[in-house]
Amino acid sequence: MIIGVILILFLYVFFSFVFTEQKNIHFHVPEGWPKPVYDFKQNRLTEKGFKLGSALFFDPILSRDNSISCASCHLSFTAFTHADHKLSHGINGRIGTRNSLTLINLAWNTSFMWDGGVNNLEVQAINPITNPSEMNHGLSNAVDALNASPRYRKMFYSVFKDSIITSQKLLKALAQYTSQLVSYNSKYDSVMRKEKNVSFTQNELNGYTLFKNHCASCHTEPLFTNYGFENNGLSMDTVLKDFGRMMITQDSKDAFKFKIPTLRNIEFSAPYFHDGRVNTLKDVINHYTSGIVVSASLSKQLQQPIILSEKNKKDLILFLKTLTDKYALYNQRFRYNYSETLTK
Amino acid sequence: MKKMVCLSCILFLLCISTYGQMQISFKPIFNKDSISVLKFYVSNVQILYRDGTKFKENNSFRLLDIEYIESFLIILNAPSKAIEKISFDVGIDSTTSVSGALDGDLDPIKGMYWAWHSGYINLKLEGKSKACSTISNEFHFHVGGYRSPFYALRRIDVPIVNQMGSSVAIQMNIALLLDKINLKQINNIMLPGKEAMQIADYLPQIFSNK
Repeated sequence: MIIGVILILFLYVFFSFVFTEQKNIHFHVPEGWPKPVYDFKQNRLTEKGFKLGSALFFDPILSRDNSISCASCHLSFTAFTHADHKLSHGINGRIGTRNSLTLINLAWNTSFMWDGGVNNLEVQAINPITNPSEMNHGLSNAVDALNASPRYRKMFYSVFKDSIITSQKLLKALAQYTSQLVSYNSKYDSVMRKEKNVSFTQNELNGYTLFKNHCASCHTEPLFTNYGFENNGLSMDTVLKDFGRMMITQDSKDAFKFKIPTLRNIEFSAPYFHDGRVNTLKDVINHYTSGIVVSASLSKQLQQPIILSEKNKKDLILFLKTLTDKYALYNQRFRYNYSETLTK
Repeated sequence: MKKMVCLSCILFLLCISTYGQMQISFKPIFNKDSISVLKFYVSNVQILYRDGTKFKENNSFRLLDIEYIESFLIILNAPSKAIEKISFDVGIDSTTSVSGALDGDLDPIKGMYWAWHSGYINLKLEGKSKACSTISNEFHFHVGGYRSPFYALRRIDVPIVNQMGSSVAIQMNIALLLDKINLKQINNIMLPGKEAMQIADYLPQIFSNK
């Protein structure tokens, strides 16, 4: 009797080991950072899941005519945004209405898109896949295209133990990749961690003080956003007529409010603002010092003009450049072809 | 002895499998020419029996689609007894609405999901009415929303007066709903908001058991 019980227990342990050979990846939360918002319990991270997500991210198979992928508008070298494009273009060169956002530290995002209309990282990807100005593919067509691919069926099977691909599996796989695009190794981070031989220059330190006085209430450390929505005094583009957050809340108080974006890797995420209207950090700062358009919903933080000397503007930019994380931008793991190792 | 054990096991399993089944069939009432799309979610069904006991189904979401009329028949593994009241939600609750990518009837490919404005469409009703001064007299109602103050889910209570053994029919009076809506002014709803809330508010009045 006892031997029987021991045998059953042994077999149970043996088989559970065999069937769960996929190791979970531990999601690292940098010291002093808040708890991630994304619920990893609903999508246990695995190496194979990450590789599958990466393969999907770089594959134009998700677009109607096989011409563009997620990476077309979110390039790792440019902080996962679309460099040189104010507004990104989708299939057939159709132009969208907003500047593509950076895909960094998404696990902490409380909402997605410039208007915060999307409530969960997993469902965010439905938008670029289905938007007529982006991939213009029905979600079910994208799922069908994947199901028609023996390579993907194999890959999905290795991750989900099921070769029938559903939209849920597609979206969870993409989230495995995008949630792990974390950036916390900038010079700023090293200085904050008091690492040896790293310190701010005098100019950067002055920029940091200015930043804390003038910018940090919205672009709050350590993620450099408080995830709120504000009207930062940009004039309305008369062609795009974008009311921002108001389109989601139906509340006129939210007119012209947009998500406060993170400033991490801002050196490489040009052009700036929700419609990409300016190209340089200098122009961004000049907007805040002398370009604010007053309207009913203008941010409280911007009611008083920000006054900065030319030297202070330069120092502030030097500080912002300390938020560049080359380790994240040039990380092999985040690049195309990393996923290839999965099928070998 | 062994045979007895086997037999009782089989009997036990049989009992479990046939133990109570309730069939609820939804019967939409409308003018056939007037409706082209009717899809809605029925979730969290609860049955209150006349003997005071309850049957509750948590986290269950069913998409009823007139294109697939079999979806209008709901089978529950619930005891077959005299029913006092059946309650259910029309729509998807706010917790489920923020839970990421879901599957089954909640799969976004079912056409009941807003992508740019995350959330489920609780009820999709499209058709024609002479009261609409629109192209081909069409109306399109996509009723949903989980964010305050436009939370469009509605709990429906249907007192049961007419039960046929283990089956109950619930009438859904679409004709009455359309009568209540001022189609001249409201004929196109594609977003959560005041108008969607108004239609949601009519929903408890259109379900009945006669």
